[in-house]
Amino acid sequence: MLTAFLFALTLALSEPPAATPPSIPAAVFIEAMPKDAKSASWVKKNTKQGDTVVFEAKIGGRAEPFVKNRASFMVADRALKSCDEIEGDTCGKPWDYCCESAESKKANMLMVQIVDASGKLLKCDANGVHGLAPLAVIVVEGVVASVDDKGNCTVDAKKIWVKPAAKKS
Amino acid sequence: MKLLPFDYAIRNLGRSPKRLLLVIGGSALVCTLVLGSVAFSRGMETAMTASGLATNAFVVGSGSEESVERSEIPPSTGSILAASVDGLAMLAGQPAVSSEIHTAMPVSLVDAVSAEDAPPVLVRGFEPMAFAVHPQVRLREGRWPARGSDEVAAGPEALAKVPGSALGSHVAIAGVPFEIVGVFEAPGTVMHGEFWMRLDRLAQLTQRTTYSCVIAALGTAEIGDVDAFTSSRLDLESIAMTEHAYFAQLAEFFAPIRLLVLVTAILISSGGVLGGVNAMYAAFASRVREVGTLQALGFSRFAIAASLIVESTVACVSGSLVACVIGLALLDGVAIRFSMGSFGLAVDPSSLLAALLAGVLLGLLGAIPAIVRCLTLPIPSALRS
Repeated sequence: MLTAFLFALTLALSEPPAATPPSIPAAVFIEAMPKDAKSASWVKKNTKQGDTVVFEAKIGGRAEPFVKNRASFMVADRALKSCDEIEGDTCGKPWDYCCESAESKKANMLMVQIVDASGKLLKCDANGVHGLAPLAVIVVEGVVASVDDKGNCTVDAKKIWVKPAAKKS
Repeated sequence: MKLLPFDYAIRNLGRSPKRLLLVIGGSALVCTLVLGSVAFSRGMETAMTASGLATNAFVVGSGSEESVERSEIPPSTGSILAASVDGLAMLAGQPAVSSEIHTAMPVSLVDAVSAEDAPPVLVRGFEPMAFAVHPQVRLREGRWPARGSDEVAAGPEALAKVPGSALGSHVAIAGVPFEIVGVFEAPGTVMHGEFWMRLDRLAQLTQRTTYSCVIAALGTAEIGDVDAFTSSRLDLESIAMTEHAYFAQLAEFFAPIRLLVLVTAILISSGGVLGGVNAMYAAFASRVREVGTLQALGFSRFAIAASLIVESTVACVSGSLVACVIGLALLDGVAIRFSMGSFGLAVDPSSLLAALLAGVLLGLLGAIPAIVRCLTLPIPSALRS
């Protein structure tokens, strides 16, 4: 009787197990760079929803390229020069591509997102995960989630290769 | 150590009622200025906090995060947002998404002599869903403007900005006459000082093809969902934040103005401080012989200094209490109008505490020169003076 009471009390007082916060699966990040990567602008021009794509891009395109608390970020075509690649530019946020026109941004930037098995955007930050950071060069293998003729394009990333940052001498 | 009795200091205050009144008056003036400046700062902060809800998403044009009046987004943004983000609050089967135009325009009475000097007042273009995202707004009199009509509703502070305007009167907004058909209130928010007209009419009046912002009640959705939406829609060139975050940013933007008000109040009150210190000095300087006598009787310099400080502090704190009464009776809620709305001075515990602290500080500082004057003299010299 006492044992049963103590057991019931323990159950009542014990906290329910905390739900594991969502995170980007480690399997998304790969060591070997996928081959035959296209450019971000090529993806925008030549694909349709559901196409599998491999493309190279640089993280950036606005002052805050990463969406807070969501596994989603903006990337820019490598043909565009980020502010750090422009000699003499002292831009505080060189990944915002502030020197590019709105038209150029529309044509050369797209969103990359990481979704769960049900296709829902993961509710976690991508910034800082496995080397993902503003101005990081990445190669993404994924599926075009949406694309239209207004300049919008979103790719569901299945695999991401992050170019190792150059070591400072 | 033997201290002088407390009532000795209090009785001394009554020896020269005129001088006491002068000290209390000077202290009250200084403390009122300090209280007023803190009430200004707190009022602005409170209005900014109350104007923006943390449960609302605020979508503005990218680059216009600090001023919705500069923002331009496509008119379709609201409907696309409503269709794209799951979990937004619903009202009568419709997503609670309000597209709005915010613009400051000159407003004067129709028959005003000089319409050119008309003050700019914030005019908001709204649709009925605005009431779902701005629950602070209540219609007090009349009715809301009809779609496409030359009608406006006004907040009480907006009416005060245009002398002579009232329910039923006609005001010229950017030179076009509009009838005031309703008076609404949104106490403690910037909307209390705005004119509201229907969105289509304001777009027509300002010849705009874009809107200023979209405000959406989040419901079960999160701001991250709206942020992900705006990020993925490059064509809309917009950015999302909570309405609360927008106004917090705006409050930060106005921080230098609040600081300026405080510094100005301190500069003006420094005249009052000097007057008070001078009066205190004169009051104590005439009592050098008395202080010498107290020393001769065996009271230590510390005990005498403590008594003088009590005397000075009691007088100055009385002044700060007067300032608190003035603040609560005359300043609390007084409207400060500016281009983007209005806010009321907030005489809250913080501003009252600031006034009381100013009084205590004044009492302590005011006594120092007199203490130095009275207690640095040798006892024989003090007795002969």
